[in-house]
Amino acid sequence: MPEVLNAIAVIFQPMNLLLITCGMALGIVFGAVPGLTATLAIALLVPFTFNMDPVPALVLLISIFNGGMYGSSITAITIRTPGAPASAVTVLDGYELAKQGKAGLAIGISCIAGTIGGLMSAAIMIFLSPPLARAALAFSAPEYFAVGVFGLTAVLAVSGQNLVKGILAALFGLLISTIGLDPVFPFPRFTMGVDGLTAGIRFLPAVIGVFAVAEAFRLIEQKEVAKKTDLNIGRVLPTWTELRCTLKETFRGGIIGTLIGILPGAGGTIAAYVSYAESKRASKNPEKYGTGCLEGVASPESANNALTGGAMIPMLTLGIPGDSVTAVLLAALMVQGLQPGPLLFRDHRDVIYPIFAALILSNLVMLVMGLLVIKPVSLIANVPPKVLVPVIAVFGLVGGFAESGDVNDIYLAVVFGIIGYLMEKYGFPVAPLVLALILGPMIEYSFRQSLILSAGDWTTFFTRPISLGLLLAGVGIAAALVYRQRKKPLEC
Amino acid sequence: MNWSDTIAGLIGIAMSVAVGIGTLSFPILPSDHAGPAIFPRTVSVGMFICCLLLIRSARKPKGEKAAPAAEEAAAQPTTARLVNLENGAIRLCLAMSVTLLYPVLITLLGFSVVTLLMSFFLVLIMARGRIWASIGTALTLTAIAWFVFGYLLEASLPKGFLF
Repeated sequence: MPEVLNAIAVIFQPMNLLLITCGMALGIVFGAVPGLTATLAIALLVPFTFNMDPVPALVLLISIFNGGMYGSSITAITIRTPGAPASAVTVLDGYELAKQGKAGLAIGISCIAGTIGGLMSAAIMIFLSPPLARAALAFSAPEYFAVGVFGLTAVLAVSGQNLVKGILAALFGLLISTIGLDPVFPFPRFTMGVDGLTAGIRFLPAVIGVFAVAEAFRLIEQKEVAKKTDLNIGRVLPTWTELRCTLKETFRGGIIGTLIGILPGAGGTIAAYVSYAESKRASKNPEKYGTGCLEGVASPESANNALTGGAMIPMLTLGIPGDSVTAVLLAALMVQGLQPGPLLFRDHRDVIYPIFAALILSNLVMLVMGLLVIKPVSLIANVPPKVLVPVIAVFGLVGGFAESGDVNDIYLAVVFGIIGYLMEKYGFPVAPLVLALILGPMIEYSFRQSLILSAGDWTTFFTRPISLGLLLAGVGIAAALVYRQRKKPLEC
Repeated sequence: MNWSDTIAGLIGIAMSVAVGIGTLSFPILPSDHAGPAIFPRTVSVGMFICCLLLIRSARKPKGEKAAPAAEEAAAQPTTARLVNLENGAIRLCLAMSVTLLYPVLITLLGFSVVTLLMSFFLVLIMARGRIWASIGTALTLTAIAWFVFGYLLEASLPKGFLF
């Protein structure tokens, strides 16, 4: 209880309130501008958190995460261009409502549903994370190996339509993660005599390169110009009757989004689609969906905002990121000297509880801010690439080396930017590469430690119940994902 | 035949073979049952197999299963596609060259000058012919970047050997 009260006191400090507001505003803007994402915003903002204490740093990044999920729905509704794939399904009813002159109402419902979904997922995270972390304290090397392998199943989910390319991207990431000193015996691997590579590939410049620098290259090549917004927002706040008829779908979306968020790699797109499909299936008037019904906006928006809390459960308790956003958040935690996993709950409660509080408070701030900034944010979505490109490039490259002061990190960011650009251009997803970069060292180290502890007995992974259970669960999820993608490819 | 996938597959195969050969020189330790070679070697084998699968799938005729991007590109008039591609490719090459030069020059000329130059060229690439607007944007951006990273975050920004 004292920790909870302390967390509330910490989160209500003026600086943290300011950071939540700024993070929310940035997240909404990045979410709203087509092509920019919450992941990019967080990757660019991580260098700004180097000099901060862990709590304010994470408060800022979590607020961006939340704001980004909501922001992407604004342009989905107003100009039929989702800011992020997770809001693609919102277009179906949201844009129909906008055509009827009810864009404001649709965005208002999206904001309220997103807030309720986010609060539900935060509550579930608060109750589920501590016992899960306590259970994970009993893990030793074989269990961590199994957790890492389980986390890699996310690769299949974030691979889009081409599994082979997704797996190849992950294998490439695993190979890159082996560059540098061997984790058990101090022997340099694949460093090619370059001193700068002895310590391995630094994660932050790599992530900034893959997400930010690559995005700048993409914008330069395509020179995209967003559609101009000609807004007739109309009223924003729904009536009580309108709100009441969407509440059931909002709660359903909240639960679906949280549960899907917990699964590695499932992501906001899947959560929104599943929630929308389930809502339509359960409706007495399914024919209304797609013609501009409020439930069709509330359901996916609640689900994709609920994803935030769900996705943070495995990230905080086990140290496995479910998608690219949580991968970057995990990097931010590590930059702060914190190792995500069960020990975080035992040794750093002073950080964990404020994170919980931040997630709740940022959702409440989103409710107020989200309703207030609809019109300006819709206009910001028209920012031309000629302004965006240099901003992303400069802040990405400088941010990549600001922490270490090592110019080699700029080379890394540029090289990974080129790699990320080429991968996306030729249909290789970059999210598996990032997940593998994080999970690779953990998998290799725990694998080799397990064999050392068991004197070379390979059955150690299958004779321990938790390890066996996780490996079987990983195989099961992988098989289900492969089956689903072969049967009906998702448009990711 | 999808040439980009075929080339990617061949690059992947070359990389996996190189990694496999590279692991042969890794030491074998009696206490470490797996050794430093096993993980990269296993990954390289997986990569080799996936690359073969990629090349095999790339050999399917285009009409059978074309990628959405390829379908979209095929629907465009030929001349328009060529022109757009050329322009985009030139812009991209210029931008990549500028960003690659950034770390090379930053130690020589310092953060402010090189950041100003990079921002200027990037804006110029995106908005050709508008030199004064490019200079203004570059100056503003460099000032903001210096204020944020150099002043607020107290990052040690290179001053350059020439100054």
